[in-house]
Amino acid sequence: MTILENEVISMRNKLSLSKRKYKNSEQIKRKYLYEEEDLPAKRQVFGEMINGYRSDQRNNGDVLQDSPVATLSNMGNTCFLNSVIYTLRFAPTFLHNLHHLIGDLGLVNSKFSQHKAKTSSLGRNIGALTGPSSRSTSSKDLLTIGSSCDFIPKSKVQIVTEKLHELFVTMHTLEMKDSTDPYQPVAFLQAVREANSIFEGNNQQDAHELLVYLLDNIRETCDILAQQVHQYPDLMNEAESMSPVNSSKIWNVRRSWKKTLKKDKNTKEPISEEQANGSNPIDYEDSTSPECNYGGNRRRIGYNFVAEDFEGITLRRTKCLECESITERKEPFYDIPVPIISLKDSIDVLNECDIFRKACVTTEKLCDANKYLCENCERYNEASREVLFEKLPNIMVLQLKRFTTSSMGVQKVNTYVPTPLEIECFCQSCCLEDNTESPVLRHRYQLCCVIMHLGGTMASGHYIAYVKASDHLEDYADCTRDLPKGSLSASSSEKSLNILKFLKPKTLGNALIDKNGLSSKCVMNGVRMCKSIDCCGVRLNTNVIENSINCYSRKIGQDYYSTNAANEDMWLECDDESVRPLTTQEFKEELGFKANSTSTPYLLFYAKMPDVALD
Amino acid sequence: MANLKPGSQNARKKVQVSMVICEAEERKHRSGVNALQLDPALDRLYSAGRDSIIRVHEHERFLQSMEHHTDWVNDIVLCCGGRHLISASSDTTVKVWNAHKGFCMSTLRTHKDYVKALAYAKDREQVASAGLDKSIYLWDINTLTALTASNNTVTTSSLIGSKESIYSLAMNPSGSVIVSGSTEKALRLWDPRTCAKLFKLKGHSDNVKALVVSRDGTQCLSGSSDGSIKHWNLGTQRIIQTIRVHTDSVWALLATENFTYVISGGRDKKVIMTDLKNISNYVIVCVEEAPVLKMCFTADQQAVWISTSDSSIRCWKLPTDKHFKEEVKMPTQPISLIPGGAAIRQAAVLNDKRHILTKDTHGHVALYDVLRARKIEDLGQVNFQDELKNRFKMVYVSNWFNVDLKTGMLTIHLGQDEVDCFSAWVSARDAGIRDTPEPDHKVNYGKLLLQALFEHWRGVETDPENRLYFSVPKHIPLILSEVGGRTLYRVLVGDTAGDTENALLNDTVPNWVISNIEDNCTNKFIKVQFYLQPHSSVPSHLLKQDRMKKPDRLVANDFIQCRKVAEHILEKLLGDGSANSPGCGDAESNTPSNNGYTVDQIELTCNDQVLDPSMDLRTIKHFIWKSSSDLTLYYKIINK
Repeated sequence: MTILENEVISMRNKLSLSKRKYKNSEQIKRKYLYEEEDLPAKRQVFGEMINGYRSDQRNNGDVLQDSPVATLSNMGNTCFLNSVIYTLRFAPTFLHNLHHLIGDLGLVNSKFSQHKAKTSSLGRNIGALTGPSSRSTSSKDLLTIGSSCDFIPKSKVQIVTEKLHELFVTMHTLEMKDSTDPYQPVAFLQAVREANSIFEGNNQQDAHELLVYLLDNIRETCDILAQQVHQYPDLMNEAESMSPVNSSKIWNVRRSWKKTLKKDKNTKEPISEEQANGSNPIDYEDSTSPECNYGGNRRRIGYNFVAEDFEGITLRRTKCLECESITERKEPFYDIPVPIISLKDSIDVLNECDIFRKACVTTEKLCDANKYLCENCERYNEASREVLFEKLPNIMVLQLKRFTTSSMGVQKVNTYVPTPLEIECFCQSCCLEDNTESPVLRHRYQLCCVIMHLGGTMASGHYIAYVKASDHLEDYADCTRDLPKGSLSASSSEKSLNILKFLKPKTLGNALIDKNGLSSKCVMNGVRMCKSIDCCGVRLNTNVIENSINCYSRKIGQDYYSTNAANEDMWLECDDESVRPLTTQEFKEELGFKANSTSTPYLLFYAKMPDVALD
Repeated sequence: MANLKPGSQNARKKVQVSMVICEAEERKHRSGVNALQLDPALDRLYSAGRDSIIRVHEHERFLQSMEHHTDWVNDIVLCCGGRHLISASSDTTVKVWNAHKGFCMSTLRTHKDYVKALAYAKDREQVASAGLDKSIYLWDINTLTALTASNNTVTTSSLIGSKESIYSLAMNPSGSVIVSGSTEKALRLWDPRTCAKLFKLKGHSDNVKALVVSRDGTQCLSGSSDGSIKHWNLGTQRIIQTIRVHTDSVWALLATENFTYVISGGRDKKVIMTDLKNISNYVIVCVEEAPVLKMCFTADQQAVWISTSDSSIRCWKLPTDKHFKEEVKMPTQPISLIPGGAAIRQAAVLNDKRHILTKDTHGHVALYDVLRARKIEDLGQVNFQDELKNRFKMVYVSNWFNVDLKTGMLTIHLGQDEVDCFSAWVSARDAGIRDTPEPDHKVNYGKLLLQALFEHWRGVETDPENRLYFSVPKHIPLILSEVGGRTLYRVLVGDTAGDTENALLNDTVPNWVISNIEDNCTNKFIKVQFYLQPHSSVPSHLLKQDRMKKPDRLVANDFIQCRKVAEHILEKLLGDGSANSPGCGDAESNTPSNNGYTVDQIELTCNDQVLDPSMDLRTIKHFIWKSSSDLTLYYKIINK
């Protein structure tokens, strides 16, 4: 595996950069691969290897207990892949948005087919259609296989996106059947390799790199779809009337409580008209950074949820120390590389939730041989450079820079860094509020997934994902794309949000059950759930989770949920074919400091928390 | 054992050659003025410019300029009753001057980064210098002024403890205390007599850029980029009061003799006089046109000279009691003005890589010739972009120098960074050399300029191959310096013939210069790789090579013109009708060859654009082919 030394801030461009870097080795690899495919004998060997592996799994299968969710088997050095799949599956809003993207792709495709029947001068249209997308490297080679019936030739990135969805559908089906057999995500891996040849071969790969490529593949799929819709507005007349995905209600709650506060200080329900009229673009612009236009178009077909949920903006502010003029530069990013700093003396436990702000929001002095060329002074001067975050994404991915390239090659830094379950937002406006006298209205982020790297080196290591056990019902509530137009009412929307605040399996005990007595997934208290939950949603086996809580209670000799805050989350440790529920306490122990441990959190996923109404 | 560390201390840095294109006499400041000093006895004002020149004025009249620094002069101190001047510069040196005669007596090279500030203890004739290298050095002026070429060692004591870049420094006349201001946002104090560190004063929230210490060394005023002025009691190490009269950073401070008033100036362009006994009692002295950099009292202390990041220096009357009581209004005009000149703020190198179009702070556009190191046309206040467009020529010549505008004048660097000074070859005709026997003879711009710069040092060239086609004016400063580092030597082109200068140049001129200006470096021509393909209209029977076969890759000097390429096609690629016809290689150009065609009948195209016969390959590659891949040209036969 190859590690790129990231800059302090990784950019969207980084993706294409790293692709370019790999180009040469890719070509070589590809060559070898073809040779391999030309030789039937070799292929056989390859197949046997996989089979062998699989039979091993079966032997172990007896030992495997019931799993709370569908599991993925290791196909030989594919833990990097499995850990990322588990993570994305449990990342808030991801499954639901992916489902609708796939739906839109199908819709656009069928519209084109109808259009084809109507028009005669089609050949030219296709050319124009594939034109813009062909500029990107990954979609250059259009596949013909498996899409002969599709009117629009599929790009490789689109196939990745579709295969990911198919995989989630399969996992859902397995869960419905209560099947405990681990599943091999072969088709998905194949699609990933087709689109991103650095993942070819059976070597261990960097989970971070896969995540970055995957998100980029899906983002590109969204872009292609949006381009198609944009180029053929006539085609999508009906489609355009589609309602937007109301993901905003999950992320964008802050504005609402402010307004609520004005109206009624004592209400605990985050109700406001803005939320009900959520599609009003002015309200949205008012409440969020101007860069993200939440206007209706964005959430129609081609809505780029990757850009919206995973993309943030960094701000580099440089001040020349001579003339003291300030220049600012903004850059989008998908993940934040976090330098590993020794925290022994600098951070005490109480400040843990501030740790990543301290590592990421930095001020650097440009001096000595690294002076700054000031445009105003026309010369090199000393300067101070601040790195700030103008916007942090809804799902913030922190990549701990555990792998450093030195003259000795790639080395792993095993220094312990605390992984707080909750952190304070460190975007620019939240940091500013810190200085003022007004009440602190900071956003907070909650840990939702962790990818752990185990082992001393990158090549020999192993990946395990930890995810918060949740079926993310709140993502599916009142999905306007699944409902007849106009049926959405403000009250039901709000109700559902409140109801679904708790993500516990209903069997966890009465203490957990909402006063409204939630019982069914599909329709709850008049709140309609998006049908996609029955397509690719997560279905937790609550019995397994309950058992594990009981086990834990026995172990500690007391009732876990009576001694701990009842609303504590459950976590899943996803280690390839073995998925094990953990209480928050157990999870904390996994994350905690262990001397000389090489099991280290590597990728941290934090989800923006809805603001809580404060009194 | 081999030292693998890059940039080790022992590795000698590459030396670059630079020249400043300036007038024979630069009477006006070109850019901002960083420091001012008044000699009350002669009523002369010394001003230190960002254009690297210190100028002397008697009232408003220019007396002389003191030129030896090669970068911004950041601070000056007049000492020994006005006989000597000490200056600190971003060229990392401190210089000692004979103030009356205006020449540089010696140069101190102890600092390793920009020297930002000086402080003077009059009673002890001691000067301290400090800068971005975090160091403070104490100098005994009587020792400094006694330095000669042979007796050139000087000892200095340094004040240790500063952790960050120092931007301001102050000492009281008796030299009992010295204060430094830095990006540490704190003041640090030492006793200069013992060099002992005293204490640190915290309170500011940004860089400290201006300091004043009271005569007895018990009080101090500090001006900071946080916009405040703090009045300190050095005995108790406490803040007496914080003055917030400015809306932006405070960059300059003056205190009246008995510390009763403070005069402050800064980024908000205002100069304000505040009563230290009652800080709510303040008067705006003036509002300047640019951020205020420095102030100094006139001889009678009734007015202040003010310098800004603009080049003009103005003298403003200070308020009296009447003004503080608001009985009289402050004058709106200065009482004196030393007008400044314009700084070049924009420079565009034209495609011929010889001429530079500039625009200055007054909006004037001018054209410079680098080879002659002079301004050749003043275009007045015209549109810069329009002029640039009008002068566009489709000619490609490689970069061979860097331009720098930090002094407000054009500075040309040769041998800096990755730019190859010898990459630009042009024909003598294109270079405007008329008396050459062969107009197509190639000359090298870098070599021509270096020859001109070192003309007087090397003596008259006898070799006709290396004869001098251009000369630069004798007043042009020639600077040898480490790339991205310190100045090694500065000398005027006309002075290089002197014995001392000659010897110093022998030590400093880098080898890459000597070897190249003496050698006839024709082997360094830059090559272009390209393919020649017949157009489909060229009859196959005329081609010597099957058109289906991939043509050979050709290599030629990048300045080869299309005409030459056409000759090659005629000679080598076209037969007389039968593909195997021998003996067509010795065809003369312009005379009908075996196949009956002339060079004029060969038309070359690139990317479907017809090429002019006088166009050279590098121009085609840069402006028409527009790719770094190998160039492909098509040829066809046209009837004329």
